[in-house]
Order: sequence, then C-alpha cells, then structure tokens
Amino acid sequence: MPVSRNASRWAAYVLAAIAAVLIGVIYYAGHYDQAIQYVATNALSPIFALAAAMLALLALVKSKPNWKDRYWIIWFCYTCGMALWGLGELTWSIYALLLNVPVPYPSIGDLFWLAGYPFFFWALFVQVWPFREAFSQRSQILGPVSMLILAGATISVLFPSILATEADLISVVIGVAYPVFDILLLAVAIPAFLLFRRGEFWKPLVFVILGITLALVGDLWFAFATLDGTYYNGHPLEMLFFWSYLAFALGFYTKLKQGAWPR
Amino acid sequence: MAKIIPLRINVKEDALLQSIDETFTILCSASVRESFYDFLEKEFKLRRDEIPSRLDLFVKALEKATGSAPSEVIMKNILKRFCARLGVEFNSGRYVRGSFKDAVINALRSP
Repeated sequence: MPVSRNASRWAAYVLAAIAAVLIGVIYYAGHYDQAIQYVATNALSPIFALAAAMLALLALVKSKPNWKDRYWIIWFCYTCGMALWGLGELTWSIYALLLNVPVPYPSIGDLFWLAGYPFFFWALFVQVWPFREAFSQRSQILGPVSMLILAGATISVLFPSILATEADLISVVIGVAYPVFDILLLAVAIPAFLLFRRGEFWKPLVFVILGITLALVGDLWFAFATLDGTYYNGHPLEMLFFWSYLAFALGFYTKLKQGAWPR
Repeated sequence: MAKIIPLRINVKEDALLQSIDETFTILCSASVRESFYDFLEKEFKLRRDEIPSRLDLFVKALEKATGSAPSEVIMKNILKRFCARLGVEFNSGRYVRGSFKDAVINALRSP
C-alpha cells in the first residue's frame, strides 16, 4: 500500500480520535455551562451525521453503479441509511436551535430515523447471508446468543411501559418500532462485526458496522432513560451517537481512499 | 501441420481456478473477485494462474484479506465447486478446518 494512502488513513484515525475526545470534553463542560453544551451538541450532531453521509455519497459515486453487484448494493444501502439518519439529526436540530421549541414526539425526524433502518438492515443482511454457515462454529455463536438475551431483556422492560402510556396510537407504534428495529438490526450487526472484524477486505465495512452498533446501543439507552425519566437534552448517552457518526465517517472515508480493493 | 501449443494450465487446475472465480462471484461479487486478484498480485506477488502451484500462499492471502472464519467458508465453497467439476463426491460434513490445501492437492493428483 502506498505510504501516502497509509498516512492519510492514519491522519483520519487521529482526527476522529481528537473529535471523539472533544465531544467528551463538551459533554463534561456541560456540567458547568448547559447553555453552551446545548447549542454545541445540537449544532454539531447534524454536521457529524451529514458529513458521514457526504463521504458515503462520494465513495458511492466513485464506484461504478451496478445493481447486480452485491457490494455496490450494500454501499448504496449504507449511503441511503446514513443520509436518512443525517436528515433526522438535522430535523432535531432545527426544532432545538432554529425554532427553539421542545422537539415534538413523534416528529418528522422520527420518520427519517425509522426510514433509515431498513436500508442498514438490508445492507447487513446481504453482506452476512453468504457467510451464514460460519455462525454454526462455536466461536461465532456468542453474537446471536447475546442478542437473544438483550432482546428478551429489552422487550420485558420496555414494552409494558410503552404500552401502558396513554399516548396516541402513532406515538405508541413509533415507541415500539424503535426498540424492535434496534434489536433486529443489532441481531445482524453484532454477529457481522464479530465475523468480519479481521481481514483487510472488510475494514471499511467494520467501521460502518461499529457505527451502527454504537447508534443502536445509544438508542436503546435513550429509550430506557426516557422511560425512567432520567433523560435530558445533553445527556451523556448522546456521545454514543457522535461516536457512531465518527465511526461511519471513518468507514466511508476508508472506502473512499481504498484503492484496489474492496471496490 | 498445425503447431501444437502446450497447455500452460491443465484441465484440473483450470477447474480449480474456475471454482475460485465462481465462489467469489457468488459469495461476494464479480468486482470483489477482480479486486481480490489485484490484491493477490500487489500484496503477495501471486498471479491467478499460479494459484494451483502455490496454494499455501493463496490460503495465507485469503485469510489476510477476509479473516479466519469467512476465509474458511470461501475455501469450503471453492472445494465443493471444484469437486463437482471433477465429478468427485464432496462430503461437507467431513471437511475439517485447515484441510483445504491437502484436499485440493489430493483432488489434483487423483486419476
């Protein structure tokens, strides 16, 4: 691999690490000045998410469109999913900063976020399916088993509370849809991460899968925190979303910069 | 009299290469297959037509490129297709991890 390509990749890793630490500093500073944290985090979240979406688009445009190519479809789905989640973040920030009103629930942002899930799910599924027989190996069984435990715990804790609320039907449906989609996506993302974590070929995809996993863990934490009333705008769990967008951005950047393969 | 050109790759070796092509195309995609051959040449100085005679290096490259578990799935699929092309029965239940090279050599040497 040429030195310059390696250097630019390492520069991206260092930049992402600095950004991740800075986000931590902003949330820590929020203990002293919540107003600055509120503005900074709400302004930065769409920038992070849309920057990742832009890198995804650049990487996709660079490769030749081919609907018969499994990997082109995978990257197309990741790009669509990322763009939709980016629009979700943008909508949230418009409510919080421009309109200066409490973010309604459900909002248009929820539509964008929920619309992103099928794209991520399909991309992961298409990637993992040909290698499904690897999951019969003992070393690969950990992922699916841990997912079943997580699914059981989430359903038993979240669902009774969501269904007991006196909210309208749409709010309840959306409230149930998030954890269901999170679990479904995690059920594919975690085994995929364990399976593909080694190997030069999968490096960009592994960053993307890490991004999905961080976002989903953040989302489930958000659901629990909202239910027990501990969530507030600026809660440290939001850091997971920022780190998730950084992982996405690294994945798309690595894909953009990777020369010969994977295409 | 027509000049006889000696075949550089014999029929069984060609069957192996076609099995590799087919496996990559089905499990990944045609573009990934071509990229993998680029990777073999650039990182391991291994050309496609040299694979049958340098199986050790091929296995090493495949593991580096795709990781341990996915490379085993790929090798098992290559072997399955290779045996089908040779008309030899392939018992996937009896396939042992890490036996790809020996299995291919046995098949190449079989009558």
